[in-house]
Amino acid sequence: MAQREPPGQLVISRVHLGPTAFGGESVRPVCRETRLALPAGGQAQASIADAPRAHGRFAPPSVTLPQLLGVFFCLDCTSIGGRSASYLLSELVQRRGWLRRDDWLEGHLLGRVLPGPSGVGSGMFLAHLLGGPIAAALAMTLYVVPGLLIGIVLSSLIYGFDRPLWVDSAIHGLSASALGLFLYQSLRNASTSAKVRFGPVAAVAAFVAHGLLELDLVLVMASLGLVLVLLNRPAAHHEEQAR
Amino acid sequence: MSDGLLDVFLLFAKLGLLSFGGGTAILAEMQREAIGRGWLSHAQFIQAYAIGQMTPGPGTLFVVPMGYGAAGVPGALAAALGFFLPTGAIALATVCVWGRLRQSAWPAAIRDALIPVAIGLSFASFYTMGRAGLADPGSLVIASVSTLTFWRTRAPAPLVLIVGGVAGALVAGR
Repeated sequence: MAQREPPGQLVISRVHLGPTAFGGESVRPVCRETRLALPAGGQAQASIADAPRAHGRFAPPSVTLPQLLGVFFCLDCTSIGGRSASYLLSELVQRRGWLRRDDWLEGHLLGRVLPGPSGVGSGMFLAHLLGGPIAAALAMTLYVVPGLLIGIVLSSLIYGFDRPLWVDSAIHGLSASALGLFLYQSLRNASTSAKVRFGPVAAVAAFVAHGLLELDLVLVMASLGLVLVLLNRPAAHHEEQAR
Repeated sequence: MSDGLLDVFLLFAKLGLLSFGGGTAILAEMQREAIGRGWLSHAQFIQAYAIGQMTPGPGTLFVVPMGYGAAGVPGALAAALGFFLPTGAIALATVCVWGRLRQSAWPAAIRDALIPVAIGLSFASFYTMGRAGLADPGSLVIASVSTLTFWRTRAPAPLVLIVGGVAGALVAGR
């Protein structure tokens, strides 16, 4: 893929390096392949402003709608454990070469901006690049529906029938392990808050307000989000950089 | 759609629209709502999260077992529709006009501002779920070992979850 990427489109100098992740999605393999000079165990982190702005100058290869939908269907059937952005990178960029890495990066960051599952936003962006809005809508439908059906089957098996004690214990252990996964993901994301002015303070405040004090989610998000947007508004950010 | 299904749809639509940064930030609120409305017990809620992690596709498919607990198969469909349809429509509209939006610095500023809040909310979610789900020493050990395994190795998530399930069965059998 390297030879297909026009030089200078991925602004490496604006990518922050550090022991963090793209909102929980590990991008270590990406950085290794693009030969970024990473510290040991380090990962890349970027804001959406760092995303390349040149997808309009790149013509994605001709991909038929059935091909595109087939890929998204297969992705849904195999991408267990979340982290769908990593699967999208692997399949659409690294394996098939349909898109450039900077397309994926832009889509991934877009997915983090939008409300809802980040994989849906980034997947829609990538499918839109390859096939337009109808392809994006259909691809996302195929991306969700098989997992939805499997989820219903698993739910009916777990909730719908009397189970022996050992099955309950196994589910209990599986649930504890899932909480361990959740803690790991939260810890991996934690350092991301440091890139925003007063970000760590806001993160702690959100934890206290919603976790300990049990204040309303909308109130917490709206108030803290508004304060942080004001503190980190683009003009203020540029003034600080100028100083 | 009956009132019950409409409630499920509206709740998950609201939570979906508030879930910046991947969807886990709203788990604490989801837990309060699902348990407060009598749809799920604490244990069932955590089981629902575990089922979601075992399901292929978006990691936020944990809404499916939660909806199932609320109102069976129609509830699962209503929860999935509520969670994915409005956010999917917004995503589709946004990617169609992104060519203009992406030149602005404001999307970056808003995203950067919301991520720390989402991180704090993720810890709040872990705190509220952990209080119920990690009450016994066995669960605490399994969760700790799982966290360390994810941290130190590249073990696939489903494998670690299955090992956790086997460990749970063995601990209970002793």
